[in-house]
Amino acid sequence: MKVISFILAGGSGKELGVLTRHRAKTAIPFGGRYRVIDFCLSNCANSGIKDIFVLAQYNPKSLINHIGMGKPWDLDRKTGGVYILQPSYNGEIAQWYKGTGDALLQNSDLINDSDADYVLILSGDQVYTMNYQNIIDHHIESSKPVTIVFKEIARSMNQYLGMLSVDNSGVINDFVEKPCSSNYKHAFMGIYLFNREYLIKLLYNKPRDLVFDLLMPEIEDGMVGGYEFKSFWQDIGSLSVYYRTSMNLLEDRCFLLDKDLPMFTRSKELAPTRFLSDSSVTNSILASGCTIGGNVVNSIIFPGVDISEGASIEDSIILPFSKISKNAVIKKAVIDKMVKVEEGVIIGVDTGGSAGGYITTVGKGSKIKKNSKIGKGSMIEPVSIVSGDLV
Amino acid sequence: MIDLVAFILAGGKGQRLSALTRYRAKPAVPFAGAYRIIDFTLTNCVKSGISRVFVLTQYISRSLVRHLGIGKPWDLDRREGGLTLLHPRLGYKGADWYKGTADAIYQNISVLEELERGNILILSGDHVYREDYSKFLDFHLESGASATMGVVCVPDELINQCGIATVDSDGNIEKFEEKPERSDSNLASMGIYIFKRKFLISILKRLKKKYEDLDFGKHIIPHLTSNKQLAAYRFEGYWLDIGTIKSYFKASQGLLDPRSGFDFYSNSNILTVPDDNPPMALGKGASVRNSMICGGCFIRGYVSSSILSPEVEVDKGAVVENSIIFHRCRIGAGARIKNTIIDKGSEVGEETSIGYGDKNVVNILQPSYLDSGITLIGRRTIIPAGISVGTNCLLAGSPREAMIDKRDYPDGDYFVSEREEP
Repeated sequence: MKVISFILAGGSGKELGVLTRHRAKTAIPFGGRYRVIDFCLSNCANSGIKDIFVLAQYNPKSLINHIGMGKPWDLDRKTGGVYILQPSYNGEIAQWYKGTGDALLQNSDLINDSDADYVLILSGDQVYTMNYQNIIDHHIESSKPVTIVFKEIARSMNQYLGMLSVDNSGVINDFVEKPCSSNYKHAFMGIYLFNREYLIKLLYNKPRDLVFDLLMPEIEDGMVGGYEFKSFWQDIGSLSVYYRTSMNLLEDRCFLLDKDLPMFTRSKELAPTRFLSDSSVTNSILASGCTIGGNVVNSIIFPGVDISEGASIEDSIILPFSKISKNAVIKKAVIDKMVKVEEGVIIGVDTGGSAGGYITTVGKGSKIKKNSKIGKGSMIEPVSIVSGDLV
Repeated sequence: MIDLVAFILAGGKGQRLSALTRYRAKPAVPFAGAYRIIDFTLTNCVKSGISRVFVLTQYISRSLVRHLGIGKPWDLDRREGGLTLLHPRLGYKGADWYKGTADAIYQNISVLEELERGNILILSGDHVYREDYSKFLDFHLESGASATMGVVCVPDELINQCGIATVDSDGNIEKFEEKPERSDSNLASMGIYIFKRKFLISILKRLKKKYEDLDFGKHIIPHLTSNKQLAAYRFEGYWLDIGTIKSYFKASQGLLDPRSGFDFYSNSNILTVPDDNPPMALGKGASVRNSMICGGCFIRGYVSSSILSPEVEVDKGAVVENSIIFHRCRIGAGARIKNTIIDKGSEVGEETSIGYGDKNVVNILQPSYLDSGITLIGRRTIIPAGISVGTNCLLAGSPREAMIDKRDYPDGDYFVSEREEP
């Protein structure tokens, strides 16, 4: 029994603000040392799936760099392994992927030529650990040609997700995309498993979108079975979800610690993190290669970050290789990679008024000059140089 | 590509490291939290452009073999060249252990004969330093000597522990003394050499006839010195030969001082087996100062002036001071640990205290190894809750009998379960 997997990783992730200006949504750093796509890739590696195609389109550079030939996931294999599939020029027109279904359609030759029994389709922008063998076992037992994965969620989240109705025998009988109000409590997780032959037939209809053009007609025909996933799962759709999901790790990070489903990532070999004499760190997650001289509270610090004496970081996420100088204060902010925050800077100052969103973001490679103040909810574009106050 | 092939001598027992080398070779002893001692030499090799590295093993090599694998972390998993381990082995004429450092190379003389490159770099697997060996090679080629020895300045108090070289005005070594009481020179041999390949083959063959336990320091170097065939190359910067528990501890503590320690942060990385642990987490009651902490650690207690390897857990209210804790150890709630080295996978029970006492009381079992106020806990030792362990103690369970007797251990006391092979 062989499975090939396609990971959808082409989305632009506009709602993630400055974090996706220069990178694919799936390449966003998460959890202190990972990138979001590591979850899918590690899950595949842990589930014994060795043929993986990553469908990339939007800002793929960081993704390509990160995945490489798949060494960290032991996917640098003689046959199979991980491939990144980007849209290409066919001699007449540039073939952009016009939707998730179209992305699959444009690579349907891989599905046709494969000798796999099943095709697993995943979304690269989700945070969860799962052994996909469980879906496959369920799929084989259910005898439906299509299985999708769902999870019970809080009703308040209905409006952000595709909601499903599941009958007693586990067959999906209705699907509503992001309903304002709905009685359905099961959300579609964007994970599909198809019999390969069956998927080939479905692709004859030239679907543009996987959900609307391919999945919904199949649900109407009663061909789709459901598999319920009960552990932690989160789709990283917006900056506030990214922030909230990250901060939740400080309360519960069990899913990162599962010895049966270990997480792998590409990382630089950095030295252990050094804490200086006057550092004070509580309730935080820190990666390697950092130098911590100041105060860190309720924060997530990525590799190679430098926090000088007297600096204070609270409720914040600092991405790799950023430097926070002496006496700088950062509150409830997401600081992207390689940002330089100079002495005495205050980021996330409460200006009293309503300042749009509440999370302050500073784009990659920016420089915040000495003693500048950046108000709560501000967004600094990548590679900006800020001096003076911005409130 | 650089014309150097490296042979790393990694078979030493490192007896003075006590329980740290009970189940592993000295080059495989963890150092600076994330590394093993041999990582420094291997990193130097690959950063100098050397792509063919032989590692000679002998004393309990399993942990070293597992660590090195096929050399992936150092990009030495190569189509041509790369990493090769040379173990003592059965041969046509019988079996033989390596009886000396040069004998180890002699027993692999066919490897030397098959190489096409002109220069051989002999290294030691238990030194901590950064060096670009291409500069060493340039010096060697320019000097025209048949062999060049790396030397380093040592403080006077170490002269009687080192091989001391006296260098003439041409840079040739004119006198070499092993562990002299006093000397006018303070240049110590680092035990690393570059030889012209053919010269090395011929001298090994010639001297092996005279000395069964052929050794670089004892035989080859004095022979070359008397024939004026040896040049000296002076290494600058941080260099450390970790020989004893005391020097291991001191070197580790030195890492915490950014001025005197080894600079891990501004220079290029030391390469090692990747750490796939999640990032460390510091809980609500945690306090960490002047310390180096690795991935996968979970700290809810108080840590100061200490080095923690990956996956160490320090529970609520526990205090870890001036200590070195290896991988996967667990320090129970309320435990107090000071001046202690705890080897991998050990557990300290709740409210137990370790390492407080009079450092002048030396260890009863190993008085010459454990005499400097450091308590040593061996690999996978389980220390019961609520006991008190003094300073200069040695507690080492075995993998099968990990739990040590539940009683207090006064200064200098020991518990060592019967030796079992791993």
